[in-house]
Amino acid sequence: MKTDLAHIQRLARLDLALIFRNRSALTNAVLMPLAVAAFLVFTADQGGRDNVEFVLTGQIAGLLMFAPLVNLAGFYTSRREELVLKRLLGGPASAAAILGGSAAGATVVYLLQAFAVGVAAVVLGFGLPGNPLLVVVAALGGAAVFALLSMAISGVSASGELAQLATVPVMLICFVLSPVIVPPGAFPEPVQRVADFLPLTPVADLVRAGYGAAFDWSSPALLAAWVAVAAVLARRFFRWDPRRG
Amino acid sequence: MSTQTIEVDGLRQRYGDFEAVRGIGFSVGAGRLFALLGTNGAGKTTTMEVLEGFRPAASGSVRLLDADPYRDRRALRPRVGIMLQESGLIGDLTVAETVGLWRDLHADPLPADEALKKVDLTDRSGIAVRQLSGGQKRRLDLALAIVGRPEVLFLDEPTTGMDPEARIGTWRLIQELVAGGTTVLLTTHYLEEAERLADRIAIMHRGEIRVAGTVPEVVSGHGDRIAFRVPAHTPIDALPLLDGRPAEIAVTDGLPTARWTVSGGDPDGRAHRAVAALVAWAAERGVTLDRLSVRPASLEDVFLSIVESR
Repeated sequence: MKTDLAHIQRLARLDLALIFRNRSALTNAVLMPLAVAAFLVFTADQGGRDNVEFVLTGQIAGLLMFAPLVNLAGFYTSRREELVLKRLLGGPASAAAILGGSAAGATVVYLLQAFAVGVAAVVLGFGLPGNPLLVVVAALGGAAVFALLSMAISGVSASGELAQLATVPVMLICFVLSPVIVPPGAFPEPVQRVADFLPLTPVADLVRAGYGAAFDWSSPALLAAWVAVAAVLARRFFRWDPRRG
Repeated sequence: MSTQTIEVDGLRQRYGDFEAVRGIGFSVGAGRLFALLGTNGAGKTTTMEVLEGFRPAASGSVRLLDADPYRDRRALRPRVGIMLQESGLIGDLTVAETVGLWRDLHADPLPADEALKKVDLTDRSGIAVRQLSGGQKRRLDLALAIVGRPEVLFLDEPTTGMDPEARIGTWRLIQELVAGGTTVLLTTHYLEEAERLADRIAIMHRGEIRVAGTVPEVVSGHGDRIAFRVPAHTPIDALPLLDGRPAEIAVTDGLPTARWTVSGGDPDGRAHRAVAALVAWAAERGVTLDRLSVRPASLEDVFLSIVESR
């Protein structure tokens, strides 16, 4: 267990170094998501100050769609196809540590981005979250769900590019239907019922509860259920051997 | 407690309808090097992958360091070094960073400069892995396999893609490791590599071990080769029978050559007896045995006779 944690830390450091070394990974995983978040927050200005706060807090959830989902699914897949994962598995690190290392690296990127949004909230005069623990639970639980989903998506994708493509529908559905930029109640009843159960919905609800909105125990319960479902999917679909040949 | 470091008994492995390994068994003692030879698709890599713990044995038993390589992977992993047939290295890292990563994953690794020196990559340490040649990547992969001071080393075609100098350097390194007590299971296409390095070999074909033993044992079962140029004006049917068999005739340089493989009787004296009979025959006819050659079967002869059999 202790070695697993040491291995996760070392492999996460490796991934972070590689993300910051590779210009396209840096753009896709780190800079572009922040640019999208900034754009959404500034355009929300027209809807009034409440709307700015809604979109701003929504970004803490919405940023999960980038490093821990789109980017991570591509990372796992291209590494598997290049036999890097198998090479690592032949070494001293366990399967959980190898997958967990990359997930931890992506989570660190996401947490830095979420932290940047938190700083922006202070700068724009919305202050710090009244209950930061809820925000932390939302961020870490959400990162776990989407990292596990990215493992499952990687398992059914033949290349890193295809894996990233396969995450796009997940990203779009979550981004639009979960309460990230569009407030709940804006959709017709049947759509809203689906939206209520999406994995990003409890994350956004918990973040806002941390910033003073009403807290409901259904949010952490749904988030925990999604962690379990995503873990089952990851276990079922993830693979170590390349899909080619 | 088993006295053998590697023990395989009745191993079978299939992929869908294809039975890749069909009930093989062998064992390797501590500090020994065992080589698995065979054509592509013979089942060597599948056997290695079961021993390496990548997949469970479908049937039969497999033991590594007195443990189950699949179930006890967590405990075995730090004690085992693996070099896969195809390497998956991270192209964006330098050689030194790659070795540094693997050192950090191990509890008691070799010093980085020592690992690089052993595979002769010291002068490439600052180079990105993607810029290495195929043979250099193989050597780096070997460095990663040994950096954790493994007790058991799996080498799947380790010298493929290396130039002759690198290959000889790699052989020397493997010999040093074995002399230091490391147990090695090696697969190779190069018969010379097996002859040089292995204490024992097994030749696999279509999922089965067809022959196994030390190299002298394996070749002695395949007879001695005797040949000479057929003298002028000697009809083919006047040639003697050796070991009860007629000569095979091959044409080299436009002249017929008679060849026998003598495999009956005791392996130590059979070549002598056959040559004595030939010399007596030649004296009787008043001819000389031009270009007379006598040699034991080579590993290549054995290999080809197995691979060409149905």
